[in-house]
Amino acid sequence: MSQYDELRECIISGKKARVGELTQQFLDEDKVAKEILDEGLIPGMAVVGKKFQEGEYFIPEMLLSARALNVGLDLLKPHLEASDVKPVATVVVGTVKGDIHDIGKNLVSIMLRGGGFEVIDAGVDVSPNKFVEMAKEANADIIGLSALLTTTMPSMLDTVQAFETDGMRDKVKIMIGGAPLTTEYAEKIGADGYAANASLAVEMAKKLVGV
Amino acid sequence: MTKDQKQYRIEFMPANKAGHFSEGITVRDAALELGIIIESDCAGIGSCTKCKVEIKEGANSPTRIEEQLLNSRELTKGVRLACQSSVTMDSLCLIRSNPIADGEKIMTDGLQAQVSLNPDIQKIMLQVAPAKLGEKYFDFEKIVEALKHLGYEIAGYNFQTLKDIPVALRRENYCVTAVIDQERLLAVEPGDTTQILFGVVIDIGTTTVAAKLVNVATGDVVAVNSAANPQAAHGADVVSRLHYIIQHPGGLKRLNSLIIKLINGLIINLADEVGIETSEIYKIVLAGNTVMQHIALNIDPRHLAQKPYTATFQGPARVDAKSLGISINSSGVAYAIPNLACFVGGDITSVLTILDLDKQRHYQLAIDMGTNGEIVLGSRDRLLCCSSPAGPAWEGACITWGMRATYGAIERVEIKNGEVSFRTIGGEPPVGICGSGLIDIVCGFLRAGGIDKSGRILNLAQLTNEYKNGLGDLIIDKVKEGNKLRITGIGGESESAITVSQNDIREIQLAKAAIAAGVKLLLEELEISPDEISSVYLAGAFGNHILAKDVLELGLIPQIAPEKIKFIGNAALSGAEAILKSREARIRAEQISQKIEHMEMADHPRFQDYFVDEMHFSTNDGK
Repeated sequence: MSQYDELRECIISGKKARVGELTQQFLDEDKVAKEILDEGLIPGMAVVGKKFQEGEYFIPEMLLSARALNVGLDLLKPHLEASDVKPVATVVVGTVKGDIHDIGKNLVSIMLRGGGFEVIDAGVDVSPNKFVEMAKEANADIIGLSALLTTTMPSMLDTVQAFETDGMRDKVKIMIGGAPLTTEYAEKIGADGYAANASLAVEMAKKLVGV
Repeated sequence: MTKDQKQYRIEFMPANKAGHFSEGITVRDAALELGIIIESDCAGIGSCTKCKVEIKEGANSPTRIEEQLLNSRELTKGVRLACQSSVTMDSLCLIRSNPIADGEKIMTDGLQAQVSLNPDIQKIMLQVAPAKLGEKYFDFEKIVEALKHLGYEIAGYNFQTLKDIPVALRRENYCVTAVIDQERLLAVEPGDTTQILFGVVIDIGTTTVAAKLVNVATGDVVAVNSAANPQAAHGADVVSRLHYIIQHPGGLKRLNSLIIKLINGLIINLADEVGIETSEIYKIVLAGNTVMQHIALNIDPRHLAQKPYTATFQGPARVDAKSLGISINSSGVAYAIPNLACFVGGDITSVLTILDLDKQRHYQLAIDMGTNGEIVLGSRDRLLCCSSPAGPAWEGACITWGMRATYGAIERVEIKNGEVSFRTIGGEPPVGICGSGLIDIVCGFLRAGGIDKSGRILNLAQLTNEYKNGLGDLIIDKVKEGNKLRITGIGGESESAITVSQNDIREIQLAKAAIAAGVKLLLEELEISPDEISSVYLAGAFGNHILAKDVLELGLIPQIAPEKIKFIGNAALSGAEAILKSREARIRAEQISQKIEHMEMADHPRFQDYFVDEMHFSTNDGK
């Protein structure tokens, strides 16, 4: 039994209010923010990811857990920054130009956050140049491109090329995801990786930055 | 095709067709050249695995995609994906038994329109006074004058008609029959042929195409037929079809020629069935969603693919059937029912024509549960429409054992006291499950406790005692069976047992959530509560029935009194029939298309939230 068991369970079952209470309580007890993160929030989200991958959880359950996670993360953030705890890596995530679907992209964001990444959400219908700009601004390690529509897949290639034109391609890893995509497509457009779901996106992101 | 490219012979069984093809063509494209449709849901990008074939001779080493998606036993057996495997030697290819049989006659039933027979297309017998020497006399003008005398104004004519007139007029002693359609003189036939006049109505669905042959002289439907939309080989939904057109030079022509060939095939079958000539058919009325209509008319729909989602035409389009390549009388006319908005097409206009949403004081809701879902809510004061990307799950695509509503499809499943009973269309041995069967299964298991509200298939251990005994045989331990519900008695214990997977249930959830979210937003826009809806009409080609309690259990629409819900079948086809038979119905369709307002869901800030909210099943009913 770990003292973080309940916090973990509350992430898994998506109990937003309780996650807030518990996190605050641990902070008040002078627990280290990094420990609360690593032993409570992250393992909880890992279980959520597993349940999603196995079909036990669906999108609504996952988003419920995500909301709970965000409450915890928001409370921990100032403490993590104060103690100079670095995220695993920084990822800019967005849905490519012409596509306004954000559910898949949001799930990826939340799983990455739950995996200890700093995530900057670029939103939907993001132009190739906007991706490049945001990557520079955030000093990003990874760019995550999402598309649901087969018609907007070509925007992914445009985005990869925009990074090349700008001389930024070597500075970032690019991963792609979305219903119509495949590993082959990632290779074809010169991206570094493809993930079939939000859970695998965390594994791919870790692989890309070598952790 | 260049000369130095090698040619190989590829033979398809059991279709028993063969041809020579350039090296490197995919098996799927080769099959298509021979008129064999290998269905798929993913536009050939290699993700759906529905296009599995067995290469008996000349199998290539598998591609990486095939290695990932096929198991080792399949790979050794020569099973490949038709969209991935290419021809590099003479081959023999076995296409796995296709549940889509030829000559289906399913899914053409729908609410019958009550219209009086008064068609735009008409035949009028004329006895013209012969020319006298010295009289100022022109054959054509004489006919126009005779028609005017009977009250028919002529505003246009086919040029060919002018050429035919002198012969026609003199063959039966100046007795002719004029064929007119909306003030246009289509043809002049010798003698009195007023008793012979046929028309065809076609609903071009993304997944299913249905047709009726109507004797316009009597108003009777004399034959019906349906078939799979062969464009499905290039993607399951309208967006994948658009993608195909954008990505492939000549893609539009290809999709167009597939649908025109199918339409002509259906017309010939219909005509043969009742022993008429296709030249006796003078009019074809087309209903279909906006993308399907564009493709059928060979008009580029590519600007529908991206914001701001622009269609080329609203319609109605009235064109010579001949110019579309449609084989009816060479002077015949094609009428495409007007579209409502970017993705809201003539099919729902057609449905509205036979309902009275635009006439009643009370609010009514009409939903066409197609692959491209279309929803209309309103009253005589204000009518709102929207489209919602439900996907092809209702019609069985993207579902492990899914199939369209045709012979052998499980269309009805009842789960009672732990016993499962089912019925197939035509009483044939079961080969798959169509939309209505899927809805029954999901709702049956929801009520029995095998699936929870979140859509999760439960373990035996998680079942409440109440259901444990009864369902023990029905729910196989998830861990053992990999998240599948197996329906006992369907396919037995064998590997080919018909099952419903967790993923299939998720597809149904997505389909129903898309519709439910659309309905919710329309209700909000009109600022009304569900109680204020007096009738709900559900149209679709997913089976021959759907129970009101199941609709509520699914949470497809908000909770309202079950007696308000009416299933109206393939109403798009019924509406097209009304438009063919009645000038008033046609004018009504055109008026509705002008009157209705459109709401764009894709960019709506709350659509995605509601979409997620609506993914859960409703368990308010039956508990």
